[in-house]
Amino acid sequence: MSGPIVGVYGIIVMFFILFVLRVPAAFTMALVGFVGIAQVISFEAAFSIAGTEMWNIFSSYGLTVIPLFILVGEIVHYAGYNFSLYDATYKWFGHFRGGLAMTTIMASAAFSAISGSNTATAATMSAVAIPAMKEYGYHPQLNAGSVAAGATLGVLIPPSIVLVVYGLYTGQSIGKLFFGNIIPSAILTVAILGTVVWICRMHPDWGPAGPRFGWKDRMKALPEAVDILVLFGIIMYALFTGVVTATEAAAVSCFLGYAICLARRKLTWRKFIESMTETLRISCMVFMIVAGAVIFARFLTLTRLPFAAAEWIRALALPNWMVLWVILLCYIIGGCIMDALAFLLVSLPIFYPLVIQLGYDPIWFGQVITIVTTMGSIMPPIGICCYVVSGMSGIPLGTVFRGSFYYMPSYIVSIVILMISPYWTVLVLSDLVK
Amino acid sequence: MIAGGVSLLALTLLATMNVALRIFRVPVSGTYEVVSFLGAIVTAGALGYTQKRKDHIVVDILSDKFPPKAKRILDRVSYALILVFFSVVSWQTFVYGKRLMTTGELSETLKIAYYPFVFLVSAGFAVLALTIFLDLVETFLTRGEKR
Repeated sequence: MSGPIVGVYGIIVMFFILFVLRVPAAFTMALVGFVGIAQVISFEAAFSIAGTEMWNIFSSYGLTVIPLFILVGEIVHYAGYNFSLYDATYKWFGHFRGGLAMTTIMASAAFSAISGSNTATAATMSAVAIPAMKEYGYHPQLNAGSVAAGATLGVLIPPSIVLVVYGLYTGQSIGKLFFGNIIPSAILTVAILGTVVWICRMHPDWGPAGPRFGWKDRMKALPEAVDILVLFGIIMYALFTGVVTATEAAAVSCFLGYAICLARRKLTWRKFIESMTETLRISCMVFMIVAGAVIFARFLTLTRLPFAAAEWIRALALPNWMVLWVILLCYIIGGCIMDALAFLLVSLPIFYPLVIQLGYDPIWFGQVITIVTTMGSIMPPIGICCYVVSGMSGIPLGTVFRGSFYYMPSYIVSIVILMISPYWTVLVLSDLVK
Repeated sequence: MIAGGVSLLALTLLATMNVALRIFRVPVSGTYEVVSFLGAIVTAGALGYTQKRKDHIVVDILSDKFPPKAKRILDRVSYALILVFFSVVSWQTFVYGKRLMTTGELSETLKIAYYPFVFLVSAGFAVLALTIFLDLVETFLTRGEKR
């Protein structure tokens, strides 16, 4: 038995192990890839790949960027910057109708500018925003929905772990991916904010306005928010000029993050240790998924399945945009049933070569699928952000899902805008990066 | 775990230093290599801990519906599967490290022997396998009240 059909069996076996045996996604991919290679070539080859390849993946320079970017986010989180960011945005925008919900989304966006994961953003923002909105009598659906939707920005706005992993996997420049991401993130943030305005117009009693603050209070709240902006600016500038690698940019921002937190006396020894252990386990998890995906992809390539699939799709002679929507539909369904990052890596070995053969830009495609997969994280039945929000706040899961459902159109609209003009939304900025 | 934490700090410092030195135009060769080696230790050191905390992403949308007894049996099968797999990975990484040691393979720029790092990664996988083994034993000891 050989050829593409082995790859198909491999995928079926993988989904069986994943769903029925509850083996973690990372291990499943590595395991199936390993056995698959043994089947296609020989057990000796598979054994030697298990040894050398694991070492090669673990010691790859590019991957060292993952723990460092996670560490920056954790430092900022443990130093309590979420509270100051929320406070600052609230003083500026709290007096509008639905102002607290908007505050939540903008504070999430600001926090995402330093944190790369949506569950971390969901957890931090739940702790700050939900009690505040409860106090002002916000409707639970608007309350929980805005936190969940805001949290999805965590994975989208750079430094984004999904984009980092996408870049490492496909060999695209992380700097380009981050810069190409600026306009799409802005579009999505505005679309989500617009949704809040629209909800408040439909249900005026859901989001009462807060008190207005004087300019003195507003200015006082700014300095700590500026810290975050400076840190973000440094990362982006360093990546833009290309003098440093992504790993170095991340390391410098960790270092500066610690320095700022020490200067502001925001970091205790215990918080420091906690930020380290959190980082280690999150990055270990991400790392293993990448390692698993690499081994699985090696197996699929050996079976020539991706090429065969691409041939087959081409033979259908469908228009490109239709193929793209079919792929995106797969991602939406995939995002509903499993973790976005895991699904992304399970599917990239199959879809990425296909999309590139269709002539789409890899940087642009990265942005589109990041938005699509992040949308999955607030969709039932396993929208991970909604689970975190519900778990942290005690608001029933159903209410959270209903609340976040209002935001679905903003994701679709953003994707359509990206498709209408790839150049003006993504490439115009990403092409500037050397 | 501690090795991972120390490596992570060292990694941050080293890469930052490298950037600072580059600004002052003092070239340091070989930091790339050391950073990569340290990166390997960061992940390898956390392997056992992450498994213990059950942080790896599992898909339990379907298996949540199974009766507890079936679930326990399936858990045993899955633990046994990954136990065998990671034992093989640990052993093969060890074999690879040993080959590097006997052939005297040196890293490209710094010309240092890097087999100790390979052994550490192998040890990380061994700890992972051990943790999985303990999980497997636990499914036999507890009578279904857990998970």
